[in-house]
Order: sequence, then C-alpha cells, then structure tokens
Amino acid sequence: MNAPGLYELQKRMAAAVMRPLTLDEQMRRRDERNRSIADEVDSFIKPNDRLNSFERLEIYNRQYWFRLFSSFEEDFPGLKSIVGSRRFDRLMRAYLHEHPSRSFTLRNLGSPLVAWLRENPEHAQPDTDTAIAMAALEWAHIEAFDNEQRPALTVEAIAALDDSTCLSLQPYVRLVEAPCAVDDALIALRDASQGAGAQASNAVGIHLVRRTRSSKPAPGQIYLAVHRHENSVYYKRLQCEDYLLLQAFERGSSLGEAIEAAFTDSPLSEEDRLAHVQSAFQYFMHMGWLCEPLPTEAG
Amino acid sequence: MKNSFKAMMLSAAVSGMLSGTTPSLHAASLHNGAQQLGQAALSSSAMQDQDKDKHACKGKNDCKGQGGCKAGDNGCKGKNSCKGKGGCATDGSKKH
Repeated sequence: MNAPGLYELQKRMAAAVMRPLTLDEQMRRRDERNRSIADEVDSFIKPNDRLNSFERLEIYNRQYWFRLFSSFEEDFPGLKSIVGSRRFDRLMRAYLHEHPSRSFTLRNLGSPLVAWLRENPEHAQPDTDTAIAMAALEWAHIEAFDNEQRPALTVEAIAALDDSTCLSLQPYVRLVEAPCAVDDALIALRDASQGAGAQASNAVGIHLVRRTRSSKPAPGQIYLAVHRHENSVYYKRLQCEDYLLLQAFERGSSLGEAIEAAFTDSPLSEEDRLAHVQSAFQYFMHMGWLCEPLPTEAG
Repeated sequence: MKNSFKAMMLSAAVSGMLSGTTPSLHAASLHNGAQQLGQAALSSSAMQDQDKDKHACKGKNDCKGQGGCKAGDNGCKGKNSCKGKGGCATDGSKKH
C-alpha cells in the first residue's frame, strides 16, 4: 500500500474507533451523516468466523471510550464525589464530546476541564463553585506532579533585583483558591479509597465499593499552592497575601507590582507587612518556587 | 503604598530571598526572625515547616495515575469484551 493509501486507511480507522458510543455504550449504527456504519466498516475490516466486521470494530470502539472514561474518573474522583455518580457520568460524556483526547498522553485529557465547567456550570450543580474548585485542585495536582522544574533564582540574580524585575513561578507550583476545604476533602477521599482498596486486595472477587459522595467540604475561603517536593505532591495552605504574591509572579509581574498587588487590601499593619513579606520570600526561595522568566515570558 | 514604605517592602523581600537561598542563612534568619518579629514571624516561620504541608498522596506509589503515569493500562477493568472473540487479530482470517 502506498503512503497516501495507508494514511487514508489510518484516518478511517481512527475516526471509526474514536466515534462516540451510544448512551448504552454500544457502537453507533449510523454516522453523523446518517450513513450506515456497518457498510463503511465492511469496506475495510474483514470478518472472522465468530464476529462480523461491525462487531470486531465495536470491540475497539468500546475499549477506546472505556479507557477514556476510566482515566477521567481516575483523575477526578473529588469532582465525582461532589456532583455524584450520575451527574458525573453525564458531565464526563458531555466534556469528552467537546474535548476528545487530542494528545499522545491521557495525562492531558482533563486539561480544559475547569474552563469548560465555568462555561457549562449546569454540569457542576448544585455545589457549582465547590465542584469547579475541586476540579481545579485535581488538575493542579496532575500539573504539580510532572510539570517542568526550572533552575531557581541564584544569589547573583537576587542581588541584582529591583522593583521592575520580573520574576516567574515554577511551572510545577500551581495555585488554587476555593470557597471551602477541598484539600481536606480530597485527601480524605483518597485515604478512604486506599483503605477500601487495601481491604479488597486480600479478597479476590469482592467488588470494591467506593464512596461516591463525600461529606461536604468545610466552608471557608482557602488559598493553596499545589506543589512538588522530593517527587511527592503537597497541598500548602497560604495566606491571602502569599497567594496574591505568587499569583502575580505567575502572571509575570515585576517584584514591585507583585508586592503592590498582594498588600494593597491587606489588613496587616505596616510592621507586620514587613515581617510577612520577608518571611514569605524566604519560604518561596527555600522551596525554590521562584525563577527567572523565560525570554518569551519576559517579553 | 508610599514610595518609602514600598522601598522597605522591597528590601524585606530581597533579604528574605537571600536568606532563603542558603541553609545556614536560612536557619539563622528563622531563629532571629522568630525572636524579633513577634507573632507575624512566628506564624510565617511555621510556614517554613514542610511537615505542615498536606501530603497529597500518602503511602507508596500513591501518585501513580495522577498524571504522567498512564502507561499502566487498567482502563479495561471488567469490560474486556474482546477476550476469546478474536477481535484482536490483525488478520480477519486468523482463528483462535
């Protein structure tokens, strides 16, 4: 087969395998233009002695989607616990319909989820803000786990700083704010799942029953840095001023702009602000969270 | 923010960064900071304690599947409908 012929065949196969399933998770009988999929499949897939062409392709079509579903569920158990299993199932299908896998890795499957939930809040009801914050935390966890680590600021670079110097936040440090304690809720959910998993591991054939709804996260605004330290992911609660500082650096602000943004509405006294800013920057550097912007970021 | 206070904040930020870059400076600064700066320093020195962070994935290998580890294929749990049906053969004529 020549190269264009092979490419066309691969395109047809990919389109067939990645075509969305029916609601009862079977392969569709008709395509988007109401053409018979069986006829299409017969033209390029042979039957065997037990399955016809349609049935053979259906196996791959279903496995493709089952893999996406299970990966998505694995990445967002906290979101599922908040919206509940049924709504989560609808949410997942609607999301994957609009944002099908386009990456070589399933790691990126949930990349636009938070933005999509903000545009489609009906899928995150009734605790919409909590659900979106949980999704943001779960996506931040994925990014913190394997985002790039750049060289931290050097002493020489710090010594040359002035208020117009732009700084950048390490890509593996992700910031999340939430109207309730989604961090505690997610950790509790993971602990519960692991406990259930450990119990089930000794009993072959026993179905693992997971809690699909957690108790509501405790209300109260929180600010988080989700970061990686020695190859583990941590959720670090921040004070509002620290969060605003880091958020400003994430935007590529200068040192002076970041301090202005963080303390303009701060209730801290001037004396406390000085102590706070010194201690905060000491911590940021201790953790290696600040770095120089890339040439493209610095503009 | 007044310019003079802004300059003081900037100095505090830079001195904090410098003290955060080396372990010896870091330790000394923490000690002095806690003594001299009262409640604010104490609360923020608590920020230095890594143990105060919430470890998001306790236990061994708990970060598996949290991104970047999608190589393991457990996605077909309980749904492996192709077993024994020949669906995996590349040649339609192949018999199992």
